[in-house]
Amino acid sequence: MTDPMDRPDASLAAALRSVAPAAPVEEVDWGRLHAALHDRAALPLARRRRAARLKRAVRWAALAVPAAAAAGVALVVLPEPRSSASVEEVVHASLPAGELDHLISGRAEREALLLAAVGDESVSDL
Amino acid sequence: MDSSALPPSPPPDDALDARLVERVRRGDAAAFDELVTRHARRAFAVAYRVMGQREDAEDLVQEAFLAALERIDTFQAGRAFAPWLYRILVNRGLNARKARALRVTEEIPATVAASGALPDRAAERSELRGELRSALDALPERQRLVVELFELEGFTSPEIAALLEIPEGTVRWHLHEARKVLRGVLAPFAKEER
Repeated sequence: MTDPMDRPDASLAAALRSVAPAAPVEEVDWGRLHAALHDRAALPLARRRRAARLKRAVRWAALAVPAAAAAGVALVVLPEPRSSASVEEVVHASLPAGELDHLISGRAEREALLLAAVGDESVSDL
Repeated sequence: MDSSALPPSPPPDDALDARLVERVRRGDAAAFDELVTRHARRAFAVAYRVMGQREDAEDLVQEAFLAALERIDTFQAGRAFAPWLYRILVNRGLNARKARALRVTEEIPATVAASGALPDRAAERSELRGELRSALDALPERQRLVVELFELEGFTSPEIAALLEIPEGTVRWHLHEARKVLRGVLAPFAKEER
């Protein structure tokens, strides 16, 4: 059995209806009311859209700026990759034929082979 | 936007309301329109109980929706939207009434006045309505609202408690007191009818 306080009192409700009639929902011009609300809400909604865009931009910036900074630091700090070519290959590529034999035979000056490897053109004079 | 008429209130769907609120937070006008469509009729019924006049109730509905939009960031996800909106509406309505010392007495339509009844019966009914109206108007503002929302609009005690921000026990107490007064007015007329 439900508590009488939990259900409406039919006779009281009927008497009340004669002095406090139901809300005249059908008399309301809902279209006009809806349009008025739509117009009045336009500005606050536009502000919200702008704030949302700004928030997105800030979020992207929060990710992008550190990433860009890290990339810049990496370019400055990290050394250029070293060549994996051997001294012999480098010297072969940069010297005329026969020159290498001259350099490694011991007949040339002591640093001449090294200078030839780094591309010093004065090597031919040694 | 179709402006001819607002469709009947759709069934409650808290999950849908939560999604719409989330879109409104980002400024989505279509989502705001949908929230209005979903809740305007019921909000109007509550507003009418607070204000007692159609035009005032319409204004109150607009003010409540705009205030809700302004405070949408404070709406807690996971809670129902309708009681939150009605709470804003009732608070604003009661404040407006207080500010304007509004005391509206609805005109009783002539057609309600004892159609087909005998003259003495008609006079009796008219007297009954007059006394009932006076008793209703003499109730404290919140007590009148509680009894009207409960008896006429079908709100439950927990729903009224949520929208008036008072404990459910207080709602039941208001209801009990209001019923006692109003039944007291009706009792002599009920005896005469027997």
